[in-house]
Parts: sequence; C-alpha cells; structure tokens
Amino acid sequence: MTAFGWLALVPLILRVLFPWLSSRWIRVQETTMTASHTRLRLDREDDAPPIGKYSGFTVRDMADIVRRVLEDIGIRDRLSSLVLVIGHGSISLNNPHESAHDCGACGGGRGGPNARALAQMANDPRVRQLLAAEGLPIAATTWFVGAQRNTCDNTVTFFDEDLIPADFQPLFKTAEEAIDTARRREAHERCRRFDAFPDWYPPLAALAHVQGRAADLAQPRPEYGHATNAFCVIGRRTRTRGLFLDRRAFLVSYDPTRDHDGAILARILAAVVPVVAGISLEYYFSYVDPTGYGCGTKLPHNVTSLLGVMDGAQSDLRTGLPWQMVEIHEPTRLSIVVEGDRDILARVVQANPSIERLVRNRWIWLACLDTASGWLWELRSTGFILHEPEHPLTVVAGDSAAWYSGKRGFLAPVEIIPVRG
Amino acid sequence: MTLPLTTLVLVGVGVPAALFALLGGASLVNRQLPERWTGPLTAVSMSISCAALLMALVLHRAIGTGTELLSYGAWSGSREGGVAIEFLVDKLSLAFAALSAAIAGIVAAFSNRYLHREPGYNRYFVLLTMFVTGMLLVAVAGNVAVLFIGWEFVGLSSALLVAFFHERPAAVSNALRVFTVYRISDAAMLSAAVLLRHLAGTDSLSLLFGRTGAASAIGLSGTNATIICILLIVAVAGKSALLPFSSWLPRAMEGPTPSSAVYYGSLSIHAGCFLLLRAAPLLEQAPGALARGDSRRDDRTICGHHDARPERREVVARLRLSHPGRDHRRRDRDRVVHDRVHSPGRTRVLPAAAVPERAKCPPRSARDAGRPR
Repeated sequence: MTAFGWLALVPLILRVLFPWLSSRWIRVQETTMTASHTRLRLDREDDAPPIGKYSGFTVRDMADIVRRVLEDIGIRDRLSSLVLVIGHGSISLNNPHESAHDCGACGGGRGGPNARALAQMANDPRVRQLLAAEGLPIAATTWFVGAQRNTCDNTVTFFDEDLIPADFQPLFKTAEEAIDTARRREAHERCRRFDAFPDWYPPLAALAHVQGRAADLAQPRPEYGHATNAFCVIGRRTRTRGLFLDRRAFLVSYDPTRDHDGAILARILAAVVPVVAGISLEYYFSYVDPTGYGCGTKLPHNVTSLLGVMDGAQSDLRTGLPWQMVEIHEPTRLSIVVEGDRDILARVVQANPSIERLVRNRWIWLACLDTASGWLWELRSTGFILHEPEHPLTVVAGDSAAWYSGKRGFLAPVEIIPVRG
Repeated sequence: MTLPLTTLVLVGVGVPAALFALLGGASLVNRQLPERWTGPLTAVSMSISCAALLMALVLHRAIGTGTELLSYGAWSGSREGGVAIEFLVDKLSLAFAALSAAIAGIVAAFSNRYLHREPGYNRYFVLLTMFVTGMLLVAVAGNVAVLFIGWEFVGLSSALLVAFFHERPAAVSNALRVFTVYRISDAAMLSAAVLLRHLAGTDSLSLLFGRTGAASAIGLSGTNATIICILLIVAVAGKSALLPFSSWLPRAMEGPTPSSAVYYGSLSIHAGCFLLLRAAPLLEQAPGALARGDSRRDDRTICGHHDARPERREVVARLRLSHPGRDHRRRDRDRVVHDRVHSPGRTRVLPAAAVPERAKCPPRSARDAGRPR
C-alpha cells in the first residue's frame, strides 16, 4: 500500500497552489453529503429546571424580544413584506484569530443562530397574536427570514428556506439576487485594500479572490475585518444613503422621530457604545503597540492546547490583535454621531456612567446631528459646540467603483449619485 | 545519450543556484528584488528545476546505465588533488533531487503568500533558495567537496531561518543551539572527508560509495573504515537530530512555519539518511560502526515517541525525531521509495503544524505516526 503514498501529493498541491479550487471541491462534497435539515427549538422546555437557567423562551419572552428589536431600529409600523435578519460571522480555514472578526459584543460568537431565532420568533403565530393584542400588529403579509453573512468569503446562508410560504417565494428570489449582486460588489470594494489583488483583475474575479483567501492555508490575512474603523452613525439610514464611507463606519439604525423621551436611545447607546468603543480601542492599541498590546506578527504563532497562541515553542500566551489584522488601520479615536435632540442625548449620556466615562475621558468623540436643522454639534466637557465642516462633500456620478477603482489607500467620504441611463 | 542527461541535471541544479546567486547578490549590493518579482521568479525556477530533474530521472531509467559520474570541469588544473564539479547520478540521487525540488517548490508557493508584506520576505527567499541549492548539491554530489558545500548551505540556511525573527531572544538562542550542533556535525563530516581522501587518495564518491566492495578495493582496512563510518554517523546524527544531538529539533520550530515544514518536516531532516544510503557500501565494511549506529537509532526511536506536549509544531518535531530513527535502521535502497512515499505525507504537516485546524487533535495523529509501518 505504501507505493501509493505519493498520492498524498495531490491534495497537498491542490490545497497549497489552488486554494480556490479546493474550496469549491470541499463545498461540492459538503452539499452532496450533508442534506439533513435542522430546526431550532425555542420553546421553554421545563417548568422548573433542577439547576441553572431555563432552557428556551416563553411566548412572553419572545414577544418582548421581537418588540424590542423592531422598536429599536424604528421599523415597528413600516414592515416590508419580507424582512431579512442577517447575522455575521467570519469563517476561514487557517486563522487562530478568526473569532476576532466575529461579534465584538459577545467575545467572538457568530450571529447566524441569533438571526435565525429572531426570525422564527417573529414568524410564530402565538407571538404575533400577543403583539397584536398589545398594539404592534405584524401583518400576515410579512415574513421574516434569518441568515448569516460570512464576512470573509461573502457567502450569505439563509436559514429555514423551506419554511418560507409559497406566496413569498418570488420576493425571496428577488432578494437573493440583490444580495448576490451586493456580495460581489462588496468583495470588489474590499479587494482594493489587498496588495495581492492586482488592479487589472475584472470585478467578477473579486468574489473568487476572497473565497480563495478564506480557503487558503497560507493566508495570514483572510480579511481585514474592522481595520480602518473610524466612526459610527446612529440614526436614520436616509441620512447615510448614497454615501461612500470606505467601509470605515459602524451604521446603527435609530429613528429619533419615534423616540420622544429618549428611552430607545438609552437602550441603543447602552448596547452599542461599549461594543464599538471596544472594537475601536482594540484596533487602536494593537496598532500603536503591536508587541505589547497586540500579539505581533502571526508567522511564528503556535496554537497552544487550543487555548491561545504563543510565539514559537516558548513564550507567554499572546493577547490582542496580530499585526496582519491591523496593518492598514489608522489609529484614531472613534467618533460617534447620534441623530436626534441635543438635550435628550446629553441626558442619556449623563444617566449611563460607563458611557459618560468614555466620553469625559476622551476615549471616544460624541456628536449630535440635529434632526431638524442637520447641524452637527460636538459634545465637549463644556457642552455642545457647533462643528463647521472643513471640506465640502464631493459628489461622484456613477457607482462606488467609479470613485475607488485603482486607488489603494484611504479615501475621503463622497456622495455617489447614480447615473440613470 | 549522456549529453542530454548532463544538461538536464545541470539545469535542475543550476537554475535554483542561479536564483540564489541573483537574490543573494542583489541583497548584497542592497538592491533587493521587490516581492512581485521574487515570487514568480522562484515559482518559475522551481518548476524548471523539478521538471528537468524528473526528465533526467525518466531518461536515466530509459537508458538504464546505472551509476554515472557527470563532470562539469575542474576548478584546478590537475585532476589529482584538484577540486572538480562532479555530479553522481543514479536512481537514488535523481529521485531524491526531484523530490526535493518538488517539495521545495510547493513550500515556496506557500511561503510566497504566507510571508507577503513581511519585513523579512527577501531574506527568507534568499535562505530558501540557498537551502534548495544545498539540498540538490547533497543529492547529486559526485565528490566530497561538492557534498560538503551542499551540506554547509543546508546547515547555514537552517540555522539562519530558525533565527528569522531575530528581534526575539528565544529565536536567537535556539538558533545558536542549532548552529552549534550543526558545527559539531560538520566537523565530523569534514574529518571523515579528509580521512577518506588521505587514506583512499581520492574524494570521488563514485569510487568510495558507489559500488559494493569498492572500499576494500581501494585499500581501506576494517579499522579505518570503522573510524570513518563513526565520523559519518556523528555527522548524520547531528543533522538528523539523532540521540545525543536530538534536543535541537523542537527548538528549531522557532522559524516561520513553512521553513520548519520543509527543513524539519521533510527534507533537511532526511539529508542524513540520504548520506547513509550513499555510504552503504562503505558502512558494510565497518561492522562495528553499524552495530553502534543501530543501537543508537533504537534509543532514538523510543525517545521520539515519548513526551508529546500539546503544542502542534513541537508534537510534529518529536514525531520527526522518531521517524528518521526508523528510517536509519532500514538503510537499504528501498529507502528511496519509502522516502518518496512518506515525504509528501509529512509535508502535509505543513498545514497541520502551521495551522490550527481546530477539529484535529494532536494525540491521535501522534499515535498513528508512532505505529510501526
């Protein structure tokens, strides 16, 4: 049998020289071999567990979760027919720091299961009945679909597709096509920061390129993740629609016109600010001191006892982000822009000590975008100061690619105006 | 028919050597080649080298001439006592050379992406091409001088790559340890070469190692053969991390992962085994040395199986410790088959070692590799 040992060269050559091909091959194998559907069981199982917490949710819990999400992002009374709930995760073949690209709020978990659970809760007739009785009707013409986007190879996986009623199928197909276009374009925009992606590649090759990176054993930078993050806009999406932000912004939906007492803003800030500030500072410190706060270059890293990484065969466990993740980052303080009323924002910040400390000690900048006037007010220790923009916003006709094509470094935000023709 | 063979072997060995001269020379005059040239250049030259050596292997099989000495001219006028560039080609050397070129090519392709944008990218590729040149010279060496140059290239590049991250004290001190052991091994090798030349009056490997019974024919007594063999075994033990010297191998894992894979996972670690295969006729003249070598290898084999720490590359290193031990015990021409068969499998360690694939658990593979084949 040993005479056939050289056959081991075939998968080796395939994986090392043609990672994209081998990723295709693995995907073919997976789709043909794993066909069993799974279902989430969300209902509370026991009345009184012997120890620990309950498993699952009561209908009351589920209704509260759905209500809160719909209210927070401001869509409770303007639901479309098909609502996509998309979590994110980063999946690559060879990356001990993979979870650093996953959810920053929960220490590196993937959002897919939560998105799937939320969609299932919102589709549950018992939940809808309860919500309707409390004044938040979800029409029978609305269906929720959970999904997860793999931020590394730009795959979007939909969950429970087989449960989508026939009426919604045409709409779902349209949405799938739109997402397919979006992920191709996003891959192309992301590729401009990869040195290894030559300028002359056609846009269509970009998706294959990012897929190859995810499957490449030799790739220390499968994606750049949140590197270059600089600001966060909490407000209505109409405020940022059409802007090219160079993948540097966290965009959080919030509708100040439906939040007169600041209760929703308080909830959003409590959830969002520690997360985005944490991500931003993690990149900041890993960049300014790669060997102290970061974990240096990835190349000598060894995974130790599936516990962490260390350098070579003898070192401390290394924490922080590796240089390959932060090398294109610009260490800057995160600017958070909140759309709404200045007084409400000031009150919400004062009421939350952890956010107040972050702002007072200048770990982050906070500013208020006035809903009515559109003026920007910076929050300083002395109060709000009106911010005068130094540069006018450039307007570019066409699409994002018209602005970023052929450019490698940082790009200023511009307004993209589509050309109709 | 020897002309195409001569050319093919020269191309196979010469192209990586030329690349090494180019990359190293450019670095010496501080005109380092940019990454976008180094990568494709290395890929092209490794492919050419591998193809040429494979063709040479096929051609050699087709002609079926057995061992052949190819001479590319002498450096000094007199053949007697002069130093000539001579390659000794047979089934064993061509197969080993082709395998080395293939594995080094794959590792070069891996490294090109792995070390992308790394400050030491150019240095790494200079050292890798130095290693490939050295490995090919060891494989096809026709006299002791060529063998020794190749042997030194392999050793020097190995120690420098262990110290690749020279800003870290651990890497540098480990590299020093590796370097020290290599010098001991090199000293033994050089002594063996000088003794051989002194006693046999020639440094041609074809006369010394090439034919069975040649050693006695050129007047080596049993005692002299035994002394030379012990020196050779010390040289090999140092290079392949056999028992008294084995402590350097886990320490050598400080370098970049692909270099660890190609040196201590597949090629460099077997250079010693290869040398013993080469010297098989001589070793048969020295029964005392054989017995000693065998017992040592048993110890080594046992030792390598113990003590697998939960750190991947180190586990692999300790597996490697056990493997050359078994390889050395076989010491027959079938070894080349064995090597051809297992080296690809072990270079797959490259992903496994580099790379934390979460699902795999080291103890299982450790058990598998420890199973007698």
